[in-house]
Amino acid sequence: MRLGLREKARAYSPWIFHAHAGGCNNCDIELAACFAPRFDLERMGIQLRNNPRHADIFLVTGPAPKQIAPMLRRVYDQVPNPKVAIACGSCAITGGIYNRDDEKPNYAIGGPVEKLIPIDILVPGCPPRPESIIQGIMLALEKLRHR
Amino acid sequence: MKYGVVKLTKELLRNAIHPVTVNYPAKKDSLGELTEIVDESRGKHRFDEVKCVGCGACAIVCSSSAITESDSDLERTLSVEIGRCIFCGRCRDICPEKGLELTPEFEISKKGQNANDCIRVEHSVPLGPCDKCGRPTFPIRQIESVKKRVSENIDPANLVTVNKDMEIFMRYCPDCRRTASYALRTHPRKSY
Repeated sequence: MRLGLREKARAYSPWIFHAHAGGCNNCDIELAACFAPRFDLERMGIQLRNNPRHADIFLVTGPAPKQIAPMLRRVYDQVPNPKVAIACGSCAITGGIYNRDDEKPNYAIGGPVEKLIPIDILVPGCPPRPESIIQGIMLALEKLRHR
Repeated sequence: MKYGVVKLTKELLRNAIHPVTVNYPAKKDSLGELTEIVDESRGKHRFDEVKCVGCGACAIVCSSSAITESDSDLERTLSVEIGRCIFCGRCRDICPEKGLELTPEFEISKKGQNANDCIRVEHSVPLGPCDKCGRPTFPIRQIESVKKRVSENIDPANLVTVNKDMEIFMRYCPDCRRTASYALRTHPRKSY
């Protein structure tokens, strides 16, 4: 597939918006490690932005408690198309340790994230290793290229 | 101030000669020396086909109920839902036969819309039927391993009695064992 200039720029330098939806902050620390010198995602043009309108990749961590659930949806809608959503960590995928039984869900959890927003990439782990997150971002790039 | 400059220069030179950045997605070989992934790292699970007896201790001890056991007529299936697992390693620690291990494999991200698309690790062991009612009862290999472990740890004076009791106990399902306890002479009050 031939990419135009805009698509090429997007595929070679995607910007990430990191949405922290509850959780214990450990995934966020591992995400910070991805941008630290050891793994250094910025050498590939990937940047963390704190504005959803600049972002191409929407990365969610945490089980999305009921208080944060409507905000998460609203922030996701603010990301311009085409966009890819990554659920990072076991909490974001299934609820993890906070949501042990699907038949008896936790009273405080509005998620998992797949109930609130469409998810494209799953990065399991508690917390996921920085390498796992980087692999997930690479899968997201493949997806972004074909959107 | 001067010392700071010297220190900074030393640091710069060291980083120029030995770069700290891993060229990860491009070159996986560079991971070996630079990352903290060692043999003890906890990643994707692996059941040992020979050692695992299917006792289900891992499913009981799992703190996020990621490991589930389900019985069919012929076999018991233990399945690990990686998307729920928190990689605490308690399943590996509790396993009496060392039949479950956490491999250092970390590339477990996947494309998918929901949790069912996540990786699952599954393992099945054959079930033995109850001698009386024919229902599937316990994994065959679990019975063998329990017998072996009991006879290793028991006081030798009681060995013959216990072995005889175990021969009876292990052949029946818990329901049949209870209903037929007088006939089988396995009742706790044996002085009748």
